[in-house]
Amino acid sequence: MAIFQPMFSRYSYSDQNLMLTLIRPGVEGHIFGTDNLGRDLFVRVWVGARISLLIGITGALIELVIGIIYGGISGYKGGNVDNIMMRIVDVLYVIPDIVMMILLIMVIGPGLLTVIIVISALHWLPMARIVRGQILQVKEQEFVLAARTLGASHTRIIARHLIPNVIGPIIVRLTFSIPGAIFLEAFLSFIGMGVPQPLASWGTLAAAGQTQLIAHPHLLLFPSIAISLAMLSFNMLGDGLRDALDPGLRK
Amino acid sequence: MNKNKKVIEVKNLKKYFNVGPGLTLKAVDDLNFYIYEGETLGLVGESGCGKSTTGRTMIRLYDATAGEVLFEGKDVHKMSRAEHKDFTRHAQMIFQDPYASLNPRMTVGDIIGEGIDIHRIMGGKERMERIYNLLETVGLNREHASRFPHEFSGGQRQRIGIARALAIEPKFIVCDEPISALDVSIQAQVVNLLIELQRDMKLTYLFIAHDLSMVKHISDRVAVMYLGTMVELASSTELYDKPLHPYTQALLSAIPIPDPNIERSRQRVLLEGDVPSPINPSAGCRFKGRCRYAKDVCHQQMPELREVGPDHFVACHIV
Ligand SMILES: Nc1ncnc2c1ncn2[C@@H]1O[C@H](COP(=O)(O)OP(=O)(O)OP(=O)(O)O)[C@@H](O)[C@H]1O
Ligand SMILES: [Mg+2]
Repeated sequence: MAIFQPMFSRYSYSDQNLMLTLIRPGVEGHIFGTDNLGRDLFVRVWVGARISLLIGITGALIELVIGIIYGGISGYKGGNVDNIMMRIVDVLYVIPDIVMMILLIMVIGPGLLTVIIVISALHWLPMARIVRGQILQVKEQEFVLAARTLGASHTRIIARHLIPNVIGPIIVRLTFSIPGAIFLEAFLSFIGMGVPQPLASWGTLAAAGQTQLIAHPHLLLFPSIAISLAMLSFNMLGDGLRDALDPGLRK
Repeated sequence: MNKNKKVIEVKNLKKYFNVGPGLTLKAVDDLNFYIYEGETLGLVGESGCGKSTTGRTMIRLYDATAGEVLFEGKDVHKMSRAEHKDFTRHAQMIFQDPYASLNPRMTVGDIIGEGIDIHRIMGGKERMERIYNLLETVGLNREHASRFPHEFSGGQRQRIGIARALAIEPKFIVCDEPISALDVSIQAQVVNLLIELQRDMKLTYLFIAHDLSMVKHISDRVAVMYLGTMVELASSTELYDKPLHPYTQALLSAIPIPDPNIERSRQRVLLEGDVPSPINPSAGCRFKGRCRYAKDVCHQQMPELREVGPDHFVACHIV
């Protein structure tokens, strides 16, 4: 729906109408009302969904790919390779998030891409740790030894035995990190390092609404509801996927 | 049993684990033995004495620290990639824990068929037929092929593990405590299944266990391990009738005898103290601390395994 938004409404996300600023929801065909520049909030929430989901999903995908490759190699190889790779993660981990964000933004300059890079740069660390922990645990299990006894190649062991057995916790982690990414983006926008105007994300909308909370609560309310609903659906999706992937729970 | 052909021969095999700076865990320390074609060699010892490590090193799940394992004359640890892949068709393992040894995400059919797939032995209908046959051989039925492991009991899972090992028609199977996780009533069934299969398929077994009673039933010869070393090796009747090593005597006296008169009158040899740590063991015999006969020489020198009677080997200074 977020993709097809422009067809639904006669207003566009950047159209300003200074005559109709800050109107209440439901008036003049503005279902969610307008903001302080007279932009239609309904449309802006839908457009915000695009940016927020884009950030959330690409961030999560990048995190997933890097996390699985890095954590997977570390856990599967074990020994010294594992030691060195995990020490690097530890070092990156102790750098405070905010310092890392500001550094990255200074180096690449603000923008949509930067936000995605910042989010992935922060989120792949815990993902790599989770993947490594899972792989370490599973690779010593007797069914993996059994596969090796049968002469299975590394590719076969990874694809048929390790990944199917570590995917559950990874998906759970992902369903947390998509809303996490949406939040982080909101935070970045709030401190002025997010997506630039007139682009809107749920984060920027909520941040803008927060300044006029007392007089015009709808400005904060609708973006917040959107964020909450998105988080709820991602969590439910995660639960569903995990159950579907677990033959123990499948009927 | 064919006494002219040794299927597998272990020479001075060592497996050490590095467990910290300057700490070496000697899980297997200088083992020598061989198994004849069609024979079952029992391997017994307390928990942690290195039985699984021995079995796993023999089929190259672990790299040996030193020594060699000869399978039909070829050193398993020096095989090329292709030779090793071929070796995996002939040597298999049945695992200790029936709950951990089956991949929960694969169907029973795919678990059993994995070896067939890896070695591209057959495909399609023929493969399924083979899987059904194997299921029936181990006492399950063909409908089970499409189920997942969690639907089965421990005994049934162990049968699935046996079917998986049999699928590629191996010559040699390491049975790593295949029954110790099962109920007593099911233990005998699984052991009898293994004995039947051995007879029908001319298999050679290394049968690992930590108690002597079941081993006697299935083994031709029995080897006793203590803290990574072999202390005694003899035919199972000889070992049970005339145990020579003080440790074997203690192990045997722990088995109750099903005759109340003998049971009451016989003397038990009790072991004192705990099993010492296999990390950086001190010189001399590993058993010295718990042995009532220990002399000076036992503290200085590791006893060698030597032949004291026909096919009866023991590693002890006292005997
Ligand atoms: N991968 C490993 N790394 C470090 N130490 C290990 C490893 N595997 C085994 N050990 C140690 O080696 C010793 C022998 O272990 P092993 O599993 O061979 O014993 P076991 O005789 O099979 O015991 P059980 O009857 O409990 O199965 C133990 O002290 C164990 O802690
Ligand atoms: Mg063991």
